[in-house]
Amino acid sequence: MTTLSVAASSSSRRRAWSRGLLAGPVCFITAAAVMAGASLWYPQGAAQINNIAVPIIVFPAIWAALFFYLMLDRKLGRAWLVAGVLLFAHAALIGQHLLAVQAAKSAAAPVTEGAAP
Amino acid sequence: MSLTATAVTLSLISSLVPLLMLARRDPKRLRSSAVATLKPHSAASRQMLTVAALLPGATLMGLGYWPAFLIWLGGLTVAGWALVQLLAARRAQRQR
Amino acid sequence: MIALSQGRTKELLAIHGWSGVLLGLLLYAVILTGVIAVFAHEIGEWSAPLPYAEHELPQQGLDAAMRARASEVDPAYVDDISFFSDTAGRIRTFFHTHGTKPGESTPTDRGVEFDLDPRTLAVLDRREGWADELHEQNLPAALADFFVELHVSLHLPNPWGLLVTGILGLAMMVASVTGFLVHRHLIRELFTLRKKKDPLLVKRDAHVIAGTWNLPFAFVLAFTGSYFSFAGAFSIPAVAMVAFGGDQEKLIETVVGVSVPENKTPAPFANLDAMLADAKARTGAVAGFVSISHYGRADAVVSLSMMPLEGELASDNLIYNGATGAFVQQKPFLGQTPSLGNDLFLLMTPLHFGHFAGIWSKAVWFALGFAGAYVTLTGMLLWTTRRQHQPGWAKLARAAHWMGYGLPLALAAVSLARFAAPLLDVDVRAAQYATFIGAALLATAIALKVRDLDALRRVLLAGTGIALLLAAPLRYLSGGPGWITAFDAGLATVIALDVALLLAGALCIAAARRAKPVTLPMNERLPEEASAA
Repeated sequence: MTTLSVAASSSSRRRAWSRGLLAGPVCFITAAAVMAGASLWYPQGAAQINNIAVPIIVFPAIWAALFFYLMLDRKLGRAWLVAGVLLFAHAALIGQHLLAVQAAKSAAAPVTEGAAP
Repeated sequence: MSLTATAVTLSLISSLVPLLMLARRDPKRLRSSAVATLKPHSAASRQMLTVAALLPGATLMGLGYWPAFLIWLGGLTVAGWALVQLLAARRAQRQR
Repeated sequence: MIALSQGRTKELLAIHGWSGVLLGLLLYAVILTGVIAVFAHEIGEWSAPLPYAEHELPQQGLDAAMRARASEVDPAYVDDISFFSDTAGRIRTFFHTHGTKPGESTPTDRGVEFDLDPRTLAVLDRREGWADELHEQNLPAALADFFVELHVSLHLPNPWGLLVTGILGLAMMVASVTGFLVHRHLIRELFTLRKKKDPLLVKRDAHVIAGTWNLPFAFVLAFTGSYFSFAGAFSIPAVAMVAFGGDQEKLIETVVGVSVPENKTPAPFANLDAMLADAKARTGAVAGFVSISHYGRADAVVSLSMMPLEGELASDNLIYNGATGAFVQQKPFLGQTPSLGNDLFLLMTPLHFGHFAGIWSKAVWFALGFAGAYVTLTGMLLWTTRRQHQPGWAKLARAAHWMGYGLPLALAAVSLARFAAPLLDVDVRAAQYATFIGAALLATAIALKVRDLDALRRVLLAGTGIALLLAAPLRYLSGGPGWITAFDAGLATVIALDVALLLAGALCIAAARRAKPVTLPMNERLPEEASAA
C-alpha cells in the first residue's frame, strides 16, 4: 500500500467517524434543543398551548429532517456548521430565558419575604 | 352493522375490485411469470383502475369520515400485500 | 421520481441496512409485542373474565359507589379520584394524592385503588400504596401488562426504557424512508413476486413487497411510537424545564387543566350520576374517563372525557362544578379553545393504538403491525444470512434467527405462566418474568447447540406452536370459563382468542415441519447494490 492510499483511507475513516458523531449524538442533542427552544419562539395560538404541544409532538420529525440532512450533505463542514448554529442559537435562547426568569424571581423574592408573616 | 363498519366494507370492496384487475394484468407481473394467455393493461387503463381503487378513500376523506378512512387505508395496504402473495402462490402451484 | 446518484443510493442502502441490523433485533421485539398489545383489552378479558361482558362505565350507581368507598379511605386520598372501565370491564377506581416516594425525586401518586364490578358495583379487589406498588398488585391486568410494558419500555426502568424504544422508533422511521428511496423503482413491481428463481431474489422480493405495501403505516406507527416514548422520557420534562422552570405539573395544569381558585372550605359533593346523565344528554356520548379533584371541598371540579361518537376519532371534555353539579364548559382536551396542538395530540393515540373503531380498526392495526414485524425479520435475515460466511456475520445471522423465532416462544410461554402460577400458588407477575427469562435462556441454549440455521428455526417454531396450543387448555384448567359458559355469558372474546391461539399454534407446527433452503449465494450482489457499485 502506498503512503498516499494509507493517508486517503485514514482520512475517509476520520470522515466516517465525524459523520457518525454528527448524525448520531450531535443530531439528537440538536433536535432536542430545537424542540425545547421552540416552546419559546413557536406561536402560542388562540388556545395558548401550541408552543408547548406542537414541538413535543413533532420532535420525531425534527430529528428525522435533521438526521437526513446531516447524513446526506456532501459537504461535511457545512453540515457541522448548520448543526452547530442550530444548537448554539437554541441553547442561547434557552439560557437567556432561564436567566431572565431567575432574575425576575430574585427581584420578586425580597417583596415576598417581606410580605410573609 | 355500525356506520363505520358499513362504510369500511363498501369502500374496501369498491377498491379491491379494481386492485385485483390491476394486479391480474399488471405488465411487469405478466412478464416475470410468462403468462401468455392474459393481455397486459395499457397505461391508460392502469391509470383509470388506480384512480378507481383510490376513489372510495377520497370519498371517505371528503365526507370527513376519518375512522373509516384510516381503516380503509390500512385495510387496502394489507389486502394489497396479501393479494400479491396469493397471486404468486397460485402461479407457483399452476407451474408445478 | 427522486433522482439519486449511484453513490447516494449506496449510502442510503448502507443506512437502511445498518439501521435495521444494529437495532433490528430490539426493534423486532418492540413491533412484535406492539402487535400483541393491539389486543391488550381482549387479552385482559380472555385471561381474567368476569361472568359477563361489560365495557362501559354504568350510568347509574357510580355516585353511591364512590361515596361508599370515599368514606372508607384515608381522607388525604379523596384529593383526586378517577374511574375508567379496565380489564374485562372492571371499573378501576383510584382515590389518590400526589407525593414523592422516599428515595425518589420524581413525584408520583399514592392511594387506594378498587376494582368494582361493572354491574353490581361490588368491590372485587382493593389495592393500596404508591402507583408502582398498585401496579404490581393488579392481577387481572398482569398478562396484558407484561406485553404492553415489553412494547413500551422493554421492561427497562424509566426513563431508559422509553429512551431506547424512542430511538428504535426513530430507526424504524429511517429504515422505512431509506427503504422507499432505495427500492423506489420497485413501485412499478408492486404486484410482482418472482418465484422459483434464485432463493436470494425470492427473499428480497418478499421483503421489499411487504415493505412497499406497508410503508405508509410503518412510518406512521414509528413516528407516533417514538413521540409517545420521548414525550414521557424527556420532551415533556425538557419543555417544562424551559417554559415552566422545571415544574411538569404546572405544564400539564396549564395545557390540560381547568384553573379554579383554591377554596378548601368543606362542601358536600354534588350527584355524579346526574352529571353523567347531563353529559350524555349534551353530547350523545358516554363518559370514558371520570376525574374528580378536591372531592368534598368548595373548589371540587369534575372532568368527564367523553368517548368519541360514531364516525369521530376524538371527543371533547366536559367540566362540572363538583360542589353544585353545575355544567361549566365543554372544552378540547388541551387548552380552552380549538387548536392545532390539540388536534395533533388527539390524532396520535388512534393512529398508534388503532382502537378507534373496535374490532375493525384493531384487526387492521394487528395486520399492519404483523407486516411490520415480517418486514423487520425478513430484512434482518436477508442482510445477515447472505453475509454469514464473512467474519462476525455468522453470529449475527444466528442472533437474528434466535430473536426472530425465540421471542415468540418466550412470549407464548408467558401466557402459560399466567395460568400455571395460581395453580402452583406463586406470584403471577414474578412467574411471568421468570418464565420469560427461562424460555429466552432455553432459546439461547438451543441457538448455541443447533448448528443448522433452518433446523434452529424449525425447533423454535415447534416450541412456540406447542406453547400456543397449551394456552387455551391451561386457561380452562386454571378455573377459566369453558366455551359453553363463555358463549352463554356473551364472552365472545374468550372463545375467539382460544380459537386464534389454537390456530396459530397449528400454523407454527405446520411451518416447523416444512424445511426451507437457506443456502444462499454469498458473493452475489442484489440488483440495487450492483447498480450502485
